[in-house]
Amino acid sequence: MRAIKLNDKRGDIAVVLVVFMTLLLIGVSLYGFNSLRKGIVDTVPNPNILDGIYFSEDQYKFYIGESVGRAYLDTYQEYAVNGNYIQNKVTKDSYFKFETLKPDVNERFNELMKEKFVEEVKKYNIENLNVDEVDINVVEGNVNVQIPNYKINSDSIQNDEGVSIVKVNYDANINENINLKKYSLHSFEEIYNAKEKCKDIATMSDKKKCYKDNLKNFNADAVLIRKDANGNEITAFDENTVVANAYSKVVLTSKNKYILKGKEGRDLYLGNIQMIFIDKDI
Amino acid sequence: MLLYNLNKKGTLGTTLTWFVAFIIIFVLMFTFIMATGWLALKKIFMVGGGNDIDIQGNTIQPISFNNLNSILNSEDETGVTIKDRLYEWGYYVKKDENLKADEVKEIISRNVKSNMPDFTENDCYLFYAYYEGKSFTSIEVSNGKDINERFSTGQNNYLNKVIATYIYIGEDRIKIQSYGGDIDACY
Repeated sequence: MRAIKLNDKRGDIAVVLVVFMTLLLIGVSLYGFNSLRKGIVDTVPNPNILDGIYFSEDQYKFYIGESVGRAYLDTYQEYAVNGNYIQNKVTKDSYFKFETLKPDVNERFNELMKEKFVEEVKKYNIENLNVDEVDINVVEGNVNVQIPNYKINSDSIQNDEGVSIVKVNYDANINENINLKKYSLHSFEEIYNAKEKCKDIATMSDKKKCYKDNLKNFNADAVLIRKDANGNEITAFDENTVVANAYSKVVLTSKNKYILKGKEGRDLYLGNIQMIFIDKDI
Repeated sequence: MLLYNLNKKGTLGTTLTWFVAFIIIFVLMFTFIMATGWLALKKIFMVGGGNDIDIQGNTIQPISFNNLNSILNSEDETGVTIKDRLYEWGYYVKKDENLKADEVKEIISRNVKSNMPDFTENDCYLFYAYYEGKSFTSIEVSNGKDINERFSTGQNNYLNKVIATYIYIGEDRIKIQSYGGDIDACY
């Protein structure tokens, strides 16, 4: 030690500096970790910050539920009006002939509903939501929407000097189930099954009753349309009347009213969802 | 040690080495100090992370979403939820069908009030729905006041503390708020 002091003054200063700086480093480290630890066990002066976080989570679930409902009704209306559930769509007197259900009707319906859901949920401007990360599954009338590790950040709580002292980051696992039955409509499979049961009933009043019994959420009407050779509808019969062709027209009207989009997709109206089709050519 | 005195170039080399070392150590220390300082200032805790967090102050939750959601999902005499009635009301407001809008508004007001707890010294509730973009199109209900009266500035100040929830009628939206808490909000 003595030899170093005598012969290498510059080295001596450097060594002293290193020692002091190391001590300083250790001191600051201890202070830093102490401060950081204090941050974790700190007192939250205002619990509303936590309420706000949970409120946001519940609110986002609510928005997802509303968006699913809106998407479902819009898709259903589009399918009902345009006869998109019918395989090889053919019209007669501007009514769809409903013979066979599209085999992939549920898949197509769900795909369109998902697209509409994305449009709807965007309206709510949900913070940090990346729609590509939203996982939507539809199984037998139940829609499951999952957003794993969805980040909800609170506003910072500031102290009297305006310095941010607490901020809450919350990783929510949003898993929302929406049962479409609450919208009181029937799936197109149920409508098809009802049609298969009721189509051969000859009396229109019995046919109407059959549809009503099988589709409780709809009011049903069944009308026999008869036409002459010129294509005119026959309203009065005599011994000379010849029926060239006839068919039974079914009108299903939802019991509930909904806010629906008009044909252009813009104008809204409050009304029932209606489906009109020919269930049997006679 | 004798060799050090004889070799000036070696001494210079050692000094240079220390000089470079000093700069490196200084930069590292400075970075470390800045990082610890920044971390110490940034007090973030993860909810559900197992940390101990003391809560002080008012623990009454004036902005619970459950309050609002239970009101929105409650049904009127005909089995229609208040939420669906709000859509209906919003539709008539949008279409400027004021008479029908007022009829629905009355149904909503009556049913919201019937779903609020009775007014006591501990229970004051406010419900507010507003069709944005249209003047005088709001529904204001309190369990302490008559439903036909409009909220005062004081009551609106209480509502401003509450996060708003929205439902959409096409591209338009209805702002909905529910407040429960301070007794003064009902006077």
